[in-house]
Amino acid sequence: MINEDKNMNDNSMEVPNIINLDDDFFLIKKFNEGDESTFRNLVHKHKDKVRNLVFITMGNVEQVDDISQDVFITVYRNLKNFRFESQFTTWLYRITINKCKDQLRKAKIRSIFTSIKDDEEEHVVYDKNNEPDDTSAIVQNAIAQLPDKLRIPLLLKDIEGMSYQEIAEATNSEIGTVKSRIFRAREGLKKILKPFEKELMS
Amino acid sequence: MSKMINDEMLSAYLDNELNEKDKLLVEENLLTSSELRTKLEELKKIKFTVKESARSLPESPYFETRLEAALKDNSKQNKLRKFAPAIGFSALAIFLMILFRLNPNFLNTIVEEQKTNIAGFYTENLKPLLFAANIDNEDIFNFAFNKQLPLDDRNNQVLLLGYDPKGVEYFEIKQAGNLEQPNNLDNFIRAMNFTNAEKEKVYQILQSYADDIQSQILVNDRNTVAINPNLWNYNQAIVADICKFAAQVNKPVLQKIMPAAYTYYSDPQVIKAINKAKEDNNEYIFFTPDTVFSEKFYFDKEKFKEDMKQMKKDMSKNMEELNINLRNMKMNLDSSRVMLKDRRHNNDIRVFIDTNSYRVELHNFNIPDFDIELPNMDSINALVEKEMKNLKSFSFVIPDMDEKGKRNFSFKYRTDDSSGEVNVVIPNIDSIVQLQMKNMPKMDSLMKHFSFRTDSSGRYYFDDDSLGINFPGEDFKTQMKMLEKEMKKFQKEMQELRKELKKKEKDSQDVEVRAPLEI
Repeated sequence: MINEDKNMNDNSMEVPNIINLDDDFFLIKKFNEGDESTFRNLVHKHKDKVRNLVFITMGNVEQVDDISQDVFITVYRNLKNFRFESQFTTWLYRITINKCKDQLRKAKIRSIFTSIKDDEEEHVVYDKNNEPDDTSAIVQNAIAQLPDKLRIPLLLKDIEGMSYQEIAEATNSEIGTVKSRIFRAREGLKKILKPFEKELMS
Repeated sequence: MSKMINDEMLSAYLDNELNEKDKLLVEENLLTSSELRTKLEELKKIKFTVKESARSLPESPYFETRLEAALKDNSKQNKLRKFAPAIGFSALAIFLMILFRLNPNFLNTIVEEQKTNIAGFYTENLKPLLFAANIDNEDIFNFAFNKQLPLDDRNNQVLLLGYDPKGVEYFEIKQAGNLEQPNNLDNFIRAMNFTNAEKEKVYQILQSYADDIQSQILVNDRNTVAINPNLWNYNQAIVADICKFAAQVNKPVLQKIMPAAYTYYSDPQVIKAINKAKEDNNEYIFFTPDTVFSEKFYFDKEKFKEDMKQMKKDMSKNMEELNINLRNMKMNLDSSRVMLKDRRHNNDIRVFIDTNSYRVELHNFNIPDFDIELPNMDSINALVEKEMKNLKSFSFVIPDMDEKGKRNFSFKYRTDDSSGEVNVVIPNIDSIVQLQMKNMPKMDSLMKHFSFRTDSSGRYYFDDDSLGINFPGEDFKTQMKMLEKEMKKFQKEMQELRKELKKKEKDSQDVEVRAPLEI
């Protein structure tokens, strides 16, 4: 809200554009006024974050660009419905996480129908990718074993450094829930990593 | 107090997500509880491990470009895409329903249009076929009474009108059997005993149909032949017209020489027949390589005549420049060559044109033998052989040419026991050839029209250089002069050759020396 007010003031006072150029609200307004080129600025500004979120959530590189593209296409189509009630990033991250969850759900459904052999192969590939660093492979493997609803908040917190508030908004849940899930994720990891304690210590 | 701190709070404390009050509470408890501190350490370790495990994501340099492309693709039709097939089919169905409801003839119209398009293709550039054949009165007369028309100038093909056994009219294009055309018109005029004025009248009647008949048969470069069935009516009209006139002049004779069907034409019948023919009947029958169809086609006779007039004008202009009467030249299309026929020379000369050369063939044209009297070389030879054995000296002088263009060579020789003189008259070949050339009127007149060269077998031909632009152009004279020069040169060479021959023969003879030339 504060942000929006500020932005409104800026516009009414006709502050030179340069100041506002990077401001999400300003870009969105421009976009909605018909200047579609501002969308490029939005993408440029947020693509890294979006890609990283997808990467963390999905756990592999392969799908990152496809899903990220999908995210921005959704944003492009719905930008005119943006109500300036929350930050653009909040909205953007929620879309991103939702897209990822969609994908994960689809993958899960797919995995029911794929053979066990395929599953094993996927694991091999996963492990192979992380061969150079043994400890990080162990950890990643452990994280991958967590359920999505615990894993995603944990990673958003510990790797992306998002606040509980931001995570709650992105995952469409309560702050308390986020707090609890992050804790449960850590407890889970502790249990999974117990056998590897020595390797991790060294 | 420590009971109030659960592990979840500790985790949130680690993340710095506790409010001030809870934060203080946790910190107070941490000071007193080692168990709590251990738990915090464990959580810290996990947090650190997770953070450390983070892999870096490779950059995607084309992300934005690809996105833009995807957006362009996606932007508008995307919403429709899912429903596109359904929407498409329903829209089509609705459209067709409305269309056929409002315009039941729609399909017919399309079919008709298509037909017109094809017809358009084949009806382009149609020109009267008979224009090429250049029909004359005799041809029209034959058309009227023999129902046949020449389709090309060489009379190789004729169009025949006929009746099949059921009495249905048909057209036929076929090779003409005999090339000899009986002079039917002349015979008719003679039989009818027409005066000159009456003859002219007959010609006029025939000529008045020429243009109309010409526009009844059209051809173009797409192998289309369009024939107007109205040709039949013209056939009837001409017969009626001629017979009416002939009957007026001499009815009994007409009845005698004409089959009964032709003889009783009264005025109303003639007028009816003519009117029927002259009605604008634009329905032609088109024979094309892949279909036969009938179609209304308007052939603009007037415009064509105008065009032809203009063409003639242009031609006559060129003719003046070229100083040749092209009216007498006719072009016939041969499969590979174009033949120009010069009627003035009555088929004696034919010009063939193909991509490489122009060739004139001369028929019934004989080049006379050159009449040159040469001395009896055999007797001289015998003498030379005999006297060679004892030849002592030999002399001769080069004599001047006499009025007849002859040179009288006198060779004198002397041997051991005898002497003698041999006289050899050598004719001037040059002058003889020139003289004989002048006596070839045909050659002379032809040369005035065409610049040509001879090939190795003595045939005359044009090549591109001489005909293409200059035919039969201004520098004909210079070319002729060059030809003459070359001929002279050739003649001289011939002369010298002969001289040399003589000389050698004389050399070997024993001569009495008159001029001092000792061997």
